[in-house]
Amino acid sequence: MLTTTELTRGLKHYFGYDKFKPGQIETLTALARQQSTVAVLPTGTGKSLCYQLYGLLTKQLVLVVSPLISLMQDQVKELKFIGEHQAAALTSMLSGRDKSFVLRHLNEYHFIFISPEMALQPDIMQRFKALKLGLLVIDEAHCISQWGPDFRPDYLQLGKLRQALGQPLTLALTATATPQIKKDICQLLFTAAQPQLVQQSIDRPNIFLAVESTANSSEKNAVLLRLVQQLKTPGLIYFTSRKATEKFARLLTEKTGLSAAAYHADLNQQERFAVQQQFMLGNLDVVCATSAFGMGINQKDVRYVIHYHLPTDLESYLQEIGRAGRDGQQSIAILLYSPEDFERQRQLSFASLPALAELKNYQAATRQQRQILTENELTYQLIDFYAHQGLNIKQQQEMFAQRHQQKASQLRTLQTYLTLTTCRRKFLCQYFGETTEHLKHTAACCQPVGQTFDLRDLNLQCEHVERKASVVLPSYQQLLKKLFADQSNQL
Amino acid sequence: MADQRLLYFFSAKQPRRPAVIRQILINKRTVSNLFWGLNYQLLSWLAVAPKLEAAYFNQQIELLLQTKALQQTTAGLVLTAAGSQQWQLYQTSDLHYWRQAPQLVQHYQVGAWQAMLALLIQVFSEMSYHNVHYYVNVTDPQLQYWLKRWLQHNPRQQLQAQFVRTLTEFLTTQESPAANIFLNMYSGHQIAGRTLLQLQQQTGWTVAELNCLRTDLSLQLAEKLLREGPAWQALIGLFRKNSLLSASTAITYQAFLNQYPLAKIAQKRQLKLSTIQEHLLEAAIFATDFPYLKILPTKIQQQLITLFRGQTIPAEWNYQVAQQQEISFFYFRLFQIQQLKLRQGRLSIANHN
Repeated sequence: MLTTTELTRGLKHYFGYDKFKPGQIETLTALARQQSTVAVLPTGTGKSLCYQLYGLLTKQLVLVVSPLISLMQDQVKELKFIGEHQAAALTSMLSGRDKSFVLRHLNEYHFIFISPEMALQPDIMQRFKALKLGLLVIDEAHCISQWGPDFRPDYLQLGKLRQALGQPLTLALTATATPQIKKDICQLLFTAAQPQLVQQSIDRPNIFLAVESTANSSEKNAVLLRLVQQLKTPGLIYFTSRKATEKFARLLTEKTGLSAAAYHADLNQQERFAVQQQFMLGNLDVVCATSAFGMGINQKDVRYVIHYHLPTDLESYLQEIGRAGRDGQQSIAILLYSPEDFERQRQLSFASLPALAELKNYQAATRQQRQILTENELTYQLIDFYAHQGLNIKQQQEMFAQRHQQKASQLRTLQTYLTLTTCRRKFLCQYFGETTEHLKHTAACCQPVGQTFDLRDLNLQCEHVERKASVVLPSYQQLLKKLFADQSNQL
Repeated sequence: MADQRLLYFFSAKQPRRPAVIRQILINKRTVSNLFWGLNYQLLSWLAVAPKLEAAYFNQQIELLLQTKALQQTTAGLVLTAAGSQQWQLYQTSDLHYWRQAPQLVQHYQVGAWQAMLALLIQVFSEMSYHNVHYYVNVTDPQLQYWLKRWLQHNPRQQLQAQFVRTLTEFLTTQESPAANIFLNMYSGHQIAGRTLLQLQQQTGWTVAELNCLRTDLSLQLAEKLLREGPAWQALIGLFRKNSLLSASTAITYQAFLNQYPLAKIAQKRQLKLSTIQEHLLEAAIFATDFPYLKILPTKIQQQLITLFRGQTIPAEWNYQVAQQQEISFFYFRLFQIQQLKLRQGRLSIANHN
């Protein structure tokens, strides 16, 4: 069994740190005791380090089920960066050629990242059964509860996967878990022995919590422009659409001279990497992103996270603002909203839930018609999925009605958060089932409705305006010199 | 304003059907499309814009008609004098990029090569700084594996020097805005590439033009690297297609060259005879040395010559004339292809005789 000394030595050797962050050592010692674990560790506390170090030290195969392709790719890059080259991401985005390459070399890898839908394919599951698995990791385990019924039905099947793999040592990781979500994770993943629970507070005291209400979108734009010019950089602004990220990246560059880039799921691999690298090299003041950006981004000095559109719910909000202040320095999370945002978010939230008419359509359709319906529409895919799970239309109707209520309730909670006249931090902690007696509301904590906040008091006001946006592109001759050292010797 | 790039595909002398042009650009390889593409001399543009949507294309054509850059005739659309002038202005403007080597698109797995080029630039850049700890900019495991193996089996310092020299020479031959923009797309040691949106803001070129520049220059660079010796041929060969024929057509064509009768090929491949004939028509369109006489009986060829004597534009020949003589459409189309290519100077006399 791995001792604390060995773990600490490994931490230094592979990651260069002397000390574990809160929650990491508890998680690792539980795993070292072969105890399956649910770890609820806030964003920025190095959740992935837990399984990375465990795999590196035990030299056993680690299978990581993860919901986002970009996240998996980032994790593979990170492992390669620290010298672990036997890591691969097995996702639906791989070309046939790449997929068969990874499958042919499966037993040579030490870390395999896989999407739930792929992990559940019978032939793939069969291949994993034949391997000796050291650790099964369910990353972003809250998806079992939060996204399950809507977007990722496959996550609900991970309990079955675990069983099929012979109930291996398992680590479920999440940053945000209400008591209900924790219950769901334990029930759906661990059928027999219950796991060890390692939990750290979701509270990030160095992130000031603010909300700015605006009358309409043009006022919201003006507030955004004012804020980005006042705030210390770098910062992140979240939007719900690709189009908005591009529009605002352009607008901010033009109007403020800040160096901004758009990041969304439609960028190609090279461009995604470019934005991440620009951000890491300090070339960017601000990234305008959809939720595709963030998971796996290890930029420590992000000073602000602004939400231009409402987040889906408080769980996602907490995840996204967690990208700020990973260096422990004062940072700020600002949520902007105008009345029309609620309708927009309501539509986005409910769009994927099948309505009664769609359930009836599906019921009345022939097999062939069902094939056509499920080919193109997510809602019919969802109905089809549950139909294959043995749920009849009435049962589905009840389930979706319940889910609808749940979503409506999440939206109401979000609305409550926006209009709070009391401490926002206390509200968040209570929502996630934490005790709040120790929390003392101060002017440096948050800004309830009706109160103002001063960026200077928070030391977040940008004093020296240094604009990074460059108008002139370097010439190819200049770039060649920078890209390739000792070029003159080689030519 | 209408998308003036489309004007390039029209001619003042030859009426052309826009639907055929779009099918060529999106790589819809029916024999009919390929034949008309050959007739318009646009086959080098095959597959250049696989995502070109019909709605967008049709709307742009409509706009070009409204602005009188194109004109409708019974046989198709023709370029007007105004259209021709617009095209000249577009092409000579510094604010636009026009593809120099469209034919290369068909020869490469474009996306995979572009990813490999990004990886090559990054790896050689980091290598020149003796840095081994960096985030790799490409996630495809197969590409990483290929590059790693390739560097293990070849003298990497020499390859690096060759690469930097070739890249430098290549960029020197390009117009400076294009060369600058191209290299600014790539990442390396302590250098982050720029996104198309960022480059659009900095240069005023459209994202579509920037995309086109990236593909065009990266493929031309691949061709230049190919000439740098066997190691480069081995690497680039992984992304280069030597034959322009689809896989199934290539099998049929090879069997045909191996003297198998068409009926036998059809039987062996469990395909209809008409499918085999379509494969051969496709082969005739692409191959520069298609042996017409092996398949086109001399008697039928003579009959066709007589029937269409004096009609100098093969694409305008009417099949019904040949049909009355009980000549199959296969022979008619094959003869048309041969005659078209002869008139376009794409065939040597040896193929003709």
